[in-house]
Amino acid sequence: MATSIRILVCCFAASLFGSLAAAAAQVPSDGGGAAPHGMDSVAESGAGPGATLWRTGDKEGARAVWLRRADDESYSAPERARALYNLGVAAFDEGEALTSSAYFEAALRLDPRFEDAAANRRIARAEAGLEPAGGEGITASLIEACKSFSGAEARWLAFGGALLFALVALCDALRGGAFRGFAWTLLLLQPLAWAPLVVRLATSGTDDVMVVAENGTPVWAGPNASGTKLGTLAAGEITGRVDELPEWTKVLYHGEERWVRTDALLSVDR
Amino acid sequence: MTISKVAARTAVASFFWLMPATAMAAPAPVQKTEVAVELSNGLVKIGERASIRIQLSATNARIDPLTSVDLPEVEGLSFGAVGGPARTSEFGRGPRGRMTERTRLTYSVPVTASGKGSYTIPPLTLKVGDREVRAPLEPMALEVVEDIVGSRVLVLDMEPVPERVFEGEPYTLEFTLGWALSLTVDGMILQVPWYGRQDGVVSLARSNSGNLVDFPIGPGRNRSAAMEDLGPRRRDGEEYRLFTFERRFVGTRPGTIEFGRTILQVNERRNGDRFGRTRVEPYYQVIPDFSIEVVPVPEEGRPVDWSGAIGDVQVDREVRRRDIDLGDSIKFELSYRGEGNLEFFDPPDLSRVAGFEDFRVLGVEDRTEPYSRLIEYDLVPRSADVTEIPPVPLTVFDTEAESFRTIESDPVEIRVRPGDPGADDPFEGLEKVDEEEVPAALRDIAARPRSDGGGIPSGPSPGAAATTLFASIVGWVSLRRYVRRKGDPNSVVARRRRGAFRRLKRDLSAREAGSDPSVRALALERFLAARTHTAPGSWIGRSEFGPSDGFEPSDRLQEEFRNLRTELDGPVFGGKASGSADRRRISAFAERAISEGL
Repeated sequence: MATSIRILVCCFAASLFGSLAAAAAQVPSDGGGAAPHGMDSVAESGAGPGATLWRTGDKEGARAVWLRRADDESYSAPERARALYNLGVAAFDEGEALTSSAYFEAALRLDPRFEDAAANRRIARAEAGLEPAGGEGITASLIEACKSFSGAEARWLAFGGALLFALVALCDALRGGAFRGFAWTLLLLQPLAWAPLVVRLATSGTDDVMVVAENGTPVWAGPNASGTKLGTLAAGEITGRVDELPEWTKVLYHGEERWVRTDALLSVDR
Repeated sequence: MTISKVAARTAVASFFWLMPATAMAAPAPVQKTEVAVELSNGLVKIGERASIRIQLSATNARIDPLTSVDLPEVEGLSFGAVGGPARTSEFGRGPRGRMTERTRLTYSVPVTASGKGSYTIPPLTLKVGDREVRAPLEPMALEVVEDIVGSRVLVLDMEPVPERVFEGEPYTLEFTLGWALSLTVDGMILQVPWYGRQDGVVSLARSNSGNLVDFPIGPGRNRSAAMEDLGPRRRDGEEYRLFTFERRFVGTRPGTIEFGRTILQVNERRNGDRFGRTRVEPYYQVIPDFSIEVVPVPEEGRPVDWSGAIGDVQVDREVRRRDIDLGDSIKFELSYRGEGNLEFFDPPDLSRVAGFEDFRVLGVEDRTEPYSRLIEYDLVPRSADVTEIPPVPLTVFDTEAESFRTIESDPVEIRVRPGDPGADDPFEGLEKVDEEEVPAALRDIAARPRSDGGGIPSGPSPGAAATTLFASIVGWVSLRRYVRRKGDPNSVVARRRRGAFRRLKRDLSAREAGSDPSVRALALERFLAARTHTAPGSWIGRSEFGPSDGFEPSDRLQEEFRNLRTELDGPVFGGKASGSADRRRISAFAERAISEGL
C-alpha cells in the first residue's frame, strides 16, 4: 500500500515538475526556430480581415482593423496579441522601430509564449538601438520563465502543488510519519509551483507605457510645455502611467509623478 | 348675607382655586438655548494662540444645535475652523427640590494675529436652531503684545529671500533659530505651516554636511525636519544654542508662493512655586508671512538650443590626460556650479557642438550634487591632427540680467601621438569585427485569427490554492498529533501488527509449510505474537486466548483455536502424523480472529 502510494505520488510530482521544465523550455528563445517568412506573401486562406487588407496593400485599413481588435476585450488574449503583433510589423514596415518594439512588447504581455512576437521584438529593439528585453542573469531568466505561464496555467500549477502536498501529508499523518521526508520535500518545493502565480500577481494590475520618441521625451513638472523641465525619459524606457489629460500623461519618474506628452508614449499593458 | 355677597365670595374663591389649576394645566414655556460668546484670553503674546469660545447651554431641555457661524473679517486676524463641541453636564436641585440637569456645548474658534496690536472683534452672527443670534453684546477686544522675554531669550532670523524668481530658478530659505543657554528648556517646536504644503514647488536636494539633528516642526504631530546643530554661539553678549534650517526650492509654475507665519515656540520649565509645583512658560518668536512671485522665463530672445539652465552658473573643465596615443580615450569633465537649476538642464550634446566632429563620444557620465553638476565625457580623437578640445557652450537664462547668455568652457590643448601610420580612424577595422550580425528579416504578420486553442479552464482562484496549501499544513500537523495520541502508527510494533496477516499468508505459502506442521505452527505463533504485541515464544503450547490478549474472543473462536493447536502440536510434539490443520484453515482462523478484534 505504502509502495503504491509512493509510486503514485512520484508520478504526479514528475508530471508536475515536468510541465514546469517544458514551460521553461518554451520561453521564447529570441530568434531560434522557424526561418523568417517572406514579406510579400499572398493572402492565406482563413486570413482575418486586417490581414486581407494588408495583403491587398491597404495598410491604413489593416492598421485600423488591428487597432480596434487589440483594444476589444471581447476577443481572446491570443487574438488581441496577434493584432498587436501585426501592428508591430506594420510599424516596423513604416520605419518606426521603437513603436514596433512597443507593440511586440504589448503582444507578449498578453501571450508570453508568442514566439514570433519575441523574435520580432528582439529585431525591433536592435534596430532601435535598445538593449535586449528581459535583462540578463539567472533571476531575469527565472522571471521570464515564470511569465511564460498563462494565468490559468499558473493557478492550476499552484493548486496542483498544494493538492499534491495535501495528499502526501494526509498519507503521512495517517501512517504516523511514514512519508515525512517526502512531505517535507514537497513542502519545500512549493515555491517552485507557486512562482509563476506569484510573479503574475505581482505584475498584474500595472498600466505600463513605453517611450516611443526617438530621442526620448522630456519630463515636466506639470502638464505644460513651457513649465519646468525636470529630466528626460530615454527612448524605449517603460514606466507606469498614473493619470491622463488631453495631450498629457502623468507617469512615474524616479518614483515621483511627473508629466510627459502623450504622443511620445505607447501603452504596453492592454 | 345677601345672595350677591355670597356670589361675590364664591367668585373670588373660585378665582383663587382655579388659578393654580390653570397654571398647572397650561403648558410650560419653551426654554431657549442660552448662547454665550467670549474670548479665551484678551491678552496674548505674539505667536500665542487665542480662541473664541461659543457656549450653548440649556437646563432640563434639549440644546438647539449650532448650525452656522458667520465670522467677521478683521484686518490682521485670521480665524480657524470651528472646533468641538465639548459637552458637559451639571446636576443640581431646583427651587422646589427638583433635580435639574444643565447641559453645555462649547465650540472653539482659533484666532491668530499677524502681529502685535489691538484688535476689535465684532459680535458673531450665529444660527442656533432656527433662530439667529448675535453675541456677545459688546465687541471683543484682543490685545497682542510682543513677547518681550521671548525676543530676548529666543533667536529666529531669516536670510533675505527674493521677492520674485523665475520659473525653474532655485531659491533658498535659511533660518537661524535657537534659545539662550540660560533657559531650562522643556520642549520646542518650529511652526512652518508652508513647509511641504505648497503647490507648484519642488524641493531640491541639499547638502548633508554638518551635525544634523531632527528638530520638531509643526503643524501636526510627530513631524520633524533635519537641521544643522551649530552648538553654543555667542550673540549680543549672551550664549545661545543655535540651529540652521536651510532648504532649497524651485517654483515650477507661474504664480505667487505664500509663506505663512513662521513661529518658534520654546517652553521653559520653572521649578518650585511656594507649593513646590513646576510650571512651563512658553516663549515665542515670529517671522511674519511673506510671499515670492514666480514669473515665467520670457520667450523673447530664447535661443532654440536653450538647455533649460537658469540662474547664475559657472563652468569649469578638467582633463586628466592631455598627451595620448591615437586610439586612446580622454576623460573630459565639465563642472557647472553656482546658484541655478543645475539638476534639471540637459547636458550639452557634444555631437551637436561645432568642433567636436573630430571626436567620437564613447560615453557620458552625469552626476548631480548640491550646488554642482559634473558631466564626464569619454572622448576619442579620430585622428592625430586633433590638437584641442574646443569650448563647450551652454545657454543659460541669467536671472540677474533677465536675458539669455552663453557660457563656455575653456578650450584644452591636447596632443595625439600617431599610432599606425595611415590608420586615421582607430576604430575602422574593429567595427566590422565587434558588431553582431543582426538578422534583418522581421517575421511576417500573423494572418489567421488565433483562439485560445481549446485552452485549459481558468482554474481555481489563488485564494483557493492558498487555502488548500495552508489547510494542508495545518491539517497535517493536527492529524499527526491526533493519530499519535493513540500510539505511533509508524512504530515497529504497529507496523508488525498491520503486516501480520500478510506475513502469515506468505509464511503459509512457503513450500515447507505444506508438508511440515512445525512451519505452520511457527507461522501461526508469529501471527498471534504480532497481533498481540508479544513474543512468538509465548504462544508455544498455548491453546486459549486470555484477557491479556486485549480482546474478547467468541466461544467458537476459542474452540477453533484449541482444535488448531491440537492438530498442529500433535505431530510436532506427539509424533503423530500431520493433522488436518492445513494452510487454508489457519488463514481462515486468522481472518476470523482479526474480525473479532485480535
